[in-house]
Amino acid sequence: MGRRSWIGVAILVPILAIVGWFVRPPRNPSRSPTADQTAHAVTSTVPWGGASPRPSNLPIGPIQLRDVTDETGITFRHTDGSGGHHYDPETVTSGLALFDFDGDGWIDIYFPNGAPLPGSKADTTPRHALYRNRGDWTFEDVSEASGVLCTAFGLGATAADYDNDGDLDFYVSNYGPKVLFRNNGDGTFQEVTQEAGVADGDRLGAGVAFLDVDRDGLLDLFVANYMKFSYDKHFVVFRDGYPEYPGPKAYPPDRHSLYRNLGDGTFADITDASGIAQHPGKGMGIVCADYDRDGDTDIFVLNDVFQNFCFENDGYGNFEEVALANGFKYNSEGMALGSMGVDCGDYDNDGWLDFYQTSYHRELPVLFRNLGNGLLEDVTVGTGAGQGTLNNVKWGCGFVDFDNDGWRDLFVAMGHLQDLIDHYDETSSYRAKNVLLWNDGQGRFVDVTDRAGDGMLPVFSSRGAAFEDLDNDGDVDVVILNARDRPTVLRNMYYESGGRNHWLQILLRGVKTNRDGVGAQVRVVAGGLKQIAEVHSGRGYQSHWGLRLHFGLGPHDHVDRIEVRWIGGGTDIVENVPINRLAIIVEGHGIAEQPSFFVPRQ
Amino acid sequence: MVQPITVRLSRVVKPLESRWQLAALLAALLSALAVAAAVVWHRGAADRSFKRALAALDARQFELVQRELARLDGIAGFEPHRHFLRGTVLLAGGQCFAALEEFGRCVDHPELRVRTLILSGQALYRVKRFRDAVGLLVQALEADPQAADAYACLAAAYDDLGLLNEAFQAWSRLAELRPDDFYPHRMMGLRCKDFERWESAVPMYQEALQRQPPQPDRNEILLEMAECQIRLQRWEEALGTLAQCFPSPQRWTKEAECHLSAGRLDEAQQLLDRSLQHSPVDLSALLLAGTLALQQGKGEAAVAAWQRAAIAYPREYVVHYKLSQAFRRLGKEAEAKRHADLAEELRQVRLEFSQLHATAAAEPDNADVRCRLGVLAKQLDRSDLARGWFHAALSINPRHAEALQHLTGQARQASKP
Repeated sequence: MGRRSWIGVAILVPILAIVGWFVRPPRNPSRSPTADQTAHAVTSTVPWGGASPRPSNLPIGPIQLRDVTDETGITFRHTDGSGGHHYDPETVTSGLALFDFDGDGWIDIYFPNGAPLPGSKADTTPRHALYRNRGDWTFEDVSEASGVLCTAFGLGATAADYDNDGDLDFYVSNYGPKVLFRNNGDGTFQEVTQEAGVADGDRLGAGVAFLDVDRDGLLDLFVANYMKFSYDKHFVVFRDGYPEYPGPKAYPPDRHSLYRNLGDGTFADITDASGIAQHPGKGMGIVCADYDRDGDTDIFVLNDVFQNFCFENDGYGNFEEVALANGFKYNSEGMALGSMGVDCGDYDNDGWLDFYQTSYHRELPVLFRNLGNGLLEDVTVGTGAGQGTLNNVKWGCGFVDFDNDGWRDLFVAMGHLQDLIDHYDETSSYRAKNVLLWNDGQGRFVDVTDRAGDGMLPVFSSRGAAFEDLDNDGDVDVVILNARDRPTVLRNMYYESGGRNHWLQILLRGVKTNRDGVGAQVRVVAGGLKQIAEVHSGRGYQSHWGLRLHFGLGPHDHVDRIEVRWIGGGTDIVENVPINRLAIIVEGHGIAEQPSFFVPRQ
Repeated sequence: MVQPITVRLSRVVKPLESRWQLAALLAALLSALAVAAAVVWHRGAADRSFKRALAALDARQFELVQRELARLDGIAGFEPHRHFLRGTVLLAGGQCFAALEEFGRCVDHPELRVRTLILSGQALYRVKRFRDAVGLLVQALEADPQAADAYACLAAAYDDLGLLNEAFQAWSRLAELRPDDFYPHRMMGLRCKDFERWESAVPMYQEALQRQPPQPDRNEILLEMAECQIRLQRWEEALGTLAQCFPSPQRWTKEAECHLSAGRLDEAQQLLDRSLQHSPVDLSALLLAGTLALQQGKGEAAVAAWQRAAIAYPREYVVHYKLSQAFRRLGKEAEAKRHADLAEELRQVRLEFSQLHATAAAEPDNADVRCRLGVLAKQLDRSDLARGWFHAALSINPRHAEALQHLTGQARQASKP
């Protein structure tokens, strides 16, 4: 070869090496978007053309979320009731609930709302809102028509069929008396709080959950309370001349409450008898789960700047607080955090439910890996589960498989609670971008926030986040409640972007056990992919979602086996289940016919 | 030039009747001139002596200062200078109150005022009378807004009062007045780090490094900056910073932490082994060694590492917390409970210690709170901190019996062979 040829080779080799690196085949094909998918995403579905606010030139990530809020017709605006006095309850409102209240197969949205606190001036009375999903990405405000108008200072909400009559009821946690709405089965509700006996006094509520504590087939109710806030003891602290919320250290802890469902529409307060009363706390998010797979549901309570609680159930509704013993009490450094929201899910597919808790500014969230022997281990740093979250307060969170590859990703809602922090801390801000961490299937999370579409661009002070398949297309969408602002609705564009992974959703119908299968654990085996999930009523940051279980299946084109372990019941096994659909499994009867409302797009 | 004088002299001497009278007059004039010259010379010498003393002070050559001070003795009009120098020497010798007395006698001298105010501020700072120090330093800066020394001490005083914003303003001004000095940026970086503002700390440290700090400051700054980068989970960036540090157990431990967090367990193990070989009871290294062992599924090794830490640091909360968790994983419930109980006890002490800091800041004249902080510091095995708090209590109430008792006890303990 002549000199020119050598020069040509010298130029070409590095270019080819770089090109080769970019086009190299992925190690695990199902973990990366296909070339088609990427091309499709770039050309047609990701609205990043021209002078759009694309954050950087990063390649398209495996998850694409699109902000469709403006198209939904949702006009709800959240208020925290603030009037410049900096009362602590303002900072913690609120979560939200996603559930199919009218049984039409489309998941609806309930937004709790704040209410004017002393000194606050409001032109109109803010109210909570129930939005009916029309199935075409538009939603209709049916709060009035359905009879759920509520103007109390709302914080959390959860839903379940507590009376086993075939429709979803819901419970709202307020500052002041809480409210139970019983579903009339015709799209309307009746408020039955007093009859049921679950108003829970005038406490400042937080996360709430239905669970069957004694395995009698009736859903009981756990109510976390934040603290004994009072206007008399309120004071404002100043930082650099700016008023700040004093925070939970300024007030004593309050008791959490447990109500046993008596089956006749009423509940009995068993807080003392169950052992819960011995442990007052500063409750925020909660989740109930059978983490040790001993056949009963345990209760996990996050307490703000206070130790976490794990109330372990003896199967009969008697609880022992074991968080120190099982590792849930503190993070790996033995520190109690400014704990906010908590979700559980099996992120590493080892058959045990893991936990993810969010936390305050400059604290990492905590990913607790379930070791399977009744112990939880903080693996946050090693897994990268705290990336991108350090400089702000973290609230709603969820283990959600957004790209249906069979590995649960993490979504974290962000935003500071100090509304003037932008003035005196250049490292943080009241409004912040949410964070999306993609599970690489190898035990690590990758921060894909800036590569996940325009859905991750909005900057709000988010609180609750909830995750459901709102358009029944087989991928999970997101709704976020933003403090002092409109909510955000994010449409998962996985299939619109050319994604090809398969999925299965499972809705349980209890017969002897509670009708929604709350507390039941489901194991899905598709080839080498084995996943578990549990039905929860109440999770994340004072929120509710997920009565319909969702399993991404990656490239597996059928499900070999599904095992359902009913709480307080037996185990059902169904085999060779078709995919890309909603499977309704009835206790003791196997799979029911696919409902007509569900028309998968694949 | 001579002629006119002669003429004038002739006019003066005209009325005189004898030569003797003329001679006497001339002698008187010459004497007056000599006295004036002597006075001028003497004052000049005193001035030069004072300047030499100041230079010697800057060079911390206190014998020379004493010598110049002796030369100034008895020179009229130099009493304030002597007080100033005496005060300065006393201050350098740690006799702050005696120094303040001397400064009190020269602070009104217009030439010495600014310096005296600054040194008095420094003396008050040393005896932990931070608010008083601030008062004098602010006066000094009103008289001379370019007084860099005043800003340096003012920043330190604000810092100790917990007035971080004011401290930052003073350090920023100091950085403007001394653009080549790394110190103000280093301090701002350090405080950002202490207050967990790691994002802000890193650029401060970078500014400090640009000003070419001497060793060992440069090494310390690099280590502190790497710690911030680790907190920010920027492992590779931290490794880059650490690569510029001297090889040391501290560096290797931090490098190990980066590798461990990035999932490179083998590299982490090698570095930790090296670190512990050189510094077998380094707390950070031992804690990390246990964590690494757990990640490798070696529960016994984790316990062994943390037990070594518990022996070296018996009152360290996190060690006992981690041990309780590790023993539980090994199924050793009794051991787990023992460490869990101890951890809980220490946690309560830490909690009270932390809460009382806020009380102490809010109540600057509360000697009891400071004494209690000293007691808690002792319980946490931090005799250095304890001593500081007992002294702080005594500076408010010199007869505080409990603080005196604890300090005496500590001194007795320290004198034991």
